[in-house]
Amino acid sequence: MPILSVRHVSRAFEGLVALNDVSIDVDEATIVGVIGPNGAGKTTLFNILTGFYRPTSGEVWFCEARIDGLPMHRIAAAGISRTFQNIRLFSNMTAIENVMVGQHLHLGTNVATAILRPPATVASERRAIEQSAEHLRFVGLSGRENELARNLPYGEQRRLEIARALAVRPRLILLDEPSAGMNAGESIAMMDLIRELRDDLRVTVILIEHQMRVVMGVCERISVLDYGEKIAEGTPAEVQRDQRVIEAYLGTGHLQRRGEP
Amino acid sequence: MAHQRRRLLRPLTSWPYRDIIDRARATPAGTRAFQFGPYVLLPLLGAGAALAPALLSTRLTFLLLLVVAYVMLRIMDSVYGLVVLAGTLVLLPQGMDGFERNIMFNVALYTLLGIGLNVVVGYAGLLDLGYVAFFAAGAYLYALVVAPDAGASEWAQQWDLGVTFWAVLPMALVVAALIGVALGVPVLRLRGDYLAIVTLGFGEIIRIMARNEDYYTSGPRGIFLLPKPPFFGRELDTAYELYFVALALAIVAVIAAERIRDSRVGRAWEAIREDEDVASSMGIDTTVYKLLAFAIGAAIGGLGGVIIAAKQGSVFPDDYNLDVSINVLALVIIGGMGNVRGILLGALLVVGLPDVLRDFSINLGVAEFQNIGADYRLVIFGASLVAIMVLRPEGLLPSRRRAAEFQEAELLEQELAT
Repeated sequence: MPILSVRHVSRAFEGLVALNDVSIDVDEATIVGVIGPNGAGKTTLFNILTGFYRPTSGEVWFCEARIDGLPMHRIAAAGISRTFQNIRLFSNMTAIENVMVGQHLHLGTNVATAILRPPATVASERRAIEQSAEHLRFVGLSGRENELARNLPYGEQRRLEIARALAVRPRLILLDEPSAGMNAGESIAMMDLIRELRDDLRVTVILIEHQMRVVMGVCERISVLDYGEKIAEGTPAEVQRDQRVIEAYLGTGHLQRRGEP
Repeated sequence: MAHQRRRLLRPLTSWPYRDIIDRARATPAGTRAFQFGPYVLLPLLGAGAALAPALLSTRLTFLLLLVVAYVMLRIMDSVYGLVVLAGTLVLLPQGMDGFERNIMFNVALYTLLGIGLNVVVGYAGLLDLGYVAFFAAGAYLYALVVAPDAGASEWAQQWDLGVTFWAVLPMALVVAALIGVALGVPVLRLRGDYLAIVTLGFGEIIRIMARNEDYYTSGPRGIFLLPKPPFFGRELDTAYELYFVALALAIVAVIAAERIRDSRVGRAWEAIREDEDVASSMGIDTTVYKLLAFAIGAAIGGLGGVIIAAKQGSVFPDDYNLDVSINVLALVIIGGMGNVRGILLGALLVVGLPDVLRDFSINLGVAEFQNIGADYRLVIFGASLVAIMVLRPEGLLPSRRRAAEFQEAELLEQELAT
């Protein structure tokens, strides 16, 4: 039984079909890549999975419950969290505060207990700080707790987004271009982190990525989107050999030119 | 697309005050020098402010209070600063005359209102120009519940709950909060400018309803003969006594507001203010938390309304006009958005200064300027607001980051590392 099941999902924006009848199954504790040229519908797919968009048609099932059309905070509560292509941290909050926002669902403080501060609230706040520090340590940001998010270097901001997403305690984490703009060394470190998410925390990972080194190096299965349609699916080796994938990435002209001389 | 549009609107509600904090952090030496200076200066200022009304019969004492408040509030983290400030606020009005005490009452009242509006605007980032609605709701609630038949509206003459000021306070808290939610629901989807316009309309609707619903509110004739708050067998009937009631409520509100801000609820508001979509993808129910901000802000505004109705002994619809909303918003912004400490200072300036300037006179030998305070006070007032905003766009006392709270986690990290 797959943990996530995308069934015949389509999404149109006033005539522009961003996703067309896409079906993807994801097994628990796997690392799955979604690739495709720019504008293929990858981020639209993420936005549907997290509830930012409703699908025009089709269904999304997660942990045997239907989640399409639910508001975003309910989907987060169901166990899906994400990072963003263009980093969207709470930039004026510190690193640890960002992570503490991620813990929102797991703290019980309300207005009355916030004002009266019974011992249980003080203790839970202290635990939240400790756990947030632990999440930061996991992504390699120890010592950066009190840094404002926007003062962190780019690579660390990407890691902080992952720490914040982890604080939601997801069963499925969606990473939108986690190694965008990174050099080779940073990309390899990011790949290690992605593997640790799965190996140490047993979190299922879906990632959108353009760097083929990362996609082929870390993903166990890959789905390829082009013009809103899923054109291929399989292991990295299978996808690399797929004729339609090569066409989508290099264009049909490439094949014609190769055949001409 | 939606994300970009919000970025354009955000500067209205998020001032770049945090750059200042970054700079202050970068120069610890500067902050250290600042820490020790007040220990010498403050007792002198505090004693001066407390004695001032006896020595200086002019209202320049008020300006002295401003200076004391500013310095005290900057170091309010220390118990020392708090004690001196509280002492000043308690002692200063003793030597004042009725007019000056009235000003102090207004300052305390508007501080309370500012704390409430700050929850909505400063914490949750929802620009509310109709805050007077909740102030009016509290005032009319008091008027309807306690007015004797002679002064009451036709509707209120039919029943008598027999409650006093103190019982109306919690009622106002609840009623105003419900009205806050009622306003919140239709405007949930609006942001920035659009939200401001709709809330502006809401403030006007309440005032116009109060004027036109003659049966319930007596319309423009108002409700009067309202009793004063009873207090151990006597009545609190002077501005001086009610000043302490307002001050006490403001202090409770400050503590409550700061504690909420430093909790899960406050973090949720801050996240919503920074990026609403991301906040909800972190599991925050943005609808609930926005309504909560409206409700808490409104509840505090309702308390203020009860106090003003009790002090005036009457309510008239046109007392609750747009000016109130604008003044409260102005004092929040000038004091320092998001920071309850700045609000007292903002109230001293925005509410106190125009009245204090009334009898500020300099004899320059030019007839037109004989009475510069009385004639030009609003010009001076306006110019000083403009000057403050130009020189310190982040407000006089912008909110400080809660580094101390997290030092604990830092220490924990060090333990883990070793």
